[in-house]
Amino acid sequence: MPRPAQRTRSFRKKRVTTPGGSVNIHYTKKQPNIARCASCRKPLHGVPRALPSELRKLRKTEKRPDRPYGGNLCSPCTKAKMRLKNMERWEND
Amino acid sequence: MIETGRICMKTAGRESGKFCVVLDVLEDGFVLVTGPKAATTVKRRKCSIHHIEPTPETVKIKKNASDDEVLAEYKKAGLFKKFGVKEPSAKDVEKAKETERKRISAAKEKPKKAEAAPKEKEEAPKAEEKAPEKKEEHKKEEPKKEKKHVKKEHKEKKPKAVKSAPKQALHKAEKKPVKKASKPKKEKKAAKKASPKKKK
Repeated sequence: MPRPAQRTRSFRKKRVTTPGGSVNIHYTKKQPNIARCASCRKPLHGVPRALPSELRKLRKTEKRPDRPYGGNLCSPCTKAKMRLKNMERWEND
Repeated sequence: MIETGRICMKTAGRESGKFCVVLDVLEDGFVLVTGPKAATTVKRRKCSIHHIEPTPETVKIKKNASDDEVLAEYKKAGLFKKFGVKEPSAKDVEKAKETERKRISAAKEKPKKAEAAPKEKEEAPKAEEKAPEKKEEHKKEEPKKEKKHVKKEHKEKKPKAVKSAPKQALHKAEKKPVKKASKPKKEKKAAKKASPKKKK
């Protein structure tokens, strides 16, 4: 019988065979979903899939790329945004 | 549009959204670029044409001009206001120069170290080849008493030989470190031979 804290669907049941040949069940927490771009919904690179308690232990540079809009937009979306900014700046001149 | 003196905006990488000046057009779609660093925090290095967006402004400079000249031209044209960039003070300019110097000198030293390492490796095996040949000669020629005397001499020289293996290869032309490399090995053999004799 599992512990009361493990009796939820947020835990993952993993079957494990022992050297003696019997099968046991291990209860582990599930991994969170991958981060997605805010405009095109593609999966983002450089952002780890970790629980908040693990994310807090990482350094700032290990959680997002070193670019503007780093953990928010993907690289093609940032390039498009920068080009738009440049065009709008010089339209009226 | 893209030529020496053209002011562009970077669209990719760490420095995206910042303005830079084109210094030189290289082949294969690359371009030399600076900020300069004191004004716009863009460093002096290569950049691809696809990661750059040109603006209608230009600056009159020669090819591969230094950062000071570019800053002076910026002031003349009154571009600090147009681009919304702060005028850098004298302190900022000096700081930026020092960091750029260190970065450029560090980049130049790396290939030199890579060249020096394989040269030392070539000289080390040559020393090892000569050492065993001379060992055999010494064994036959020197009687046992001389080996004991040789021990005391080697003990004094031991620390010098053990420390610097690569330096021996460099000083090869001046002296003959081959004998020094072979000596410590002989000591062990002489000690082994000497010890059973004492028991007898």
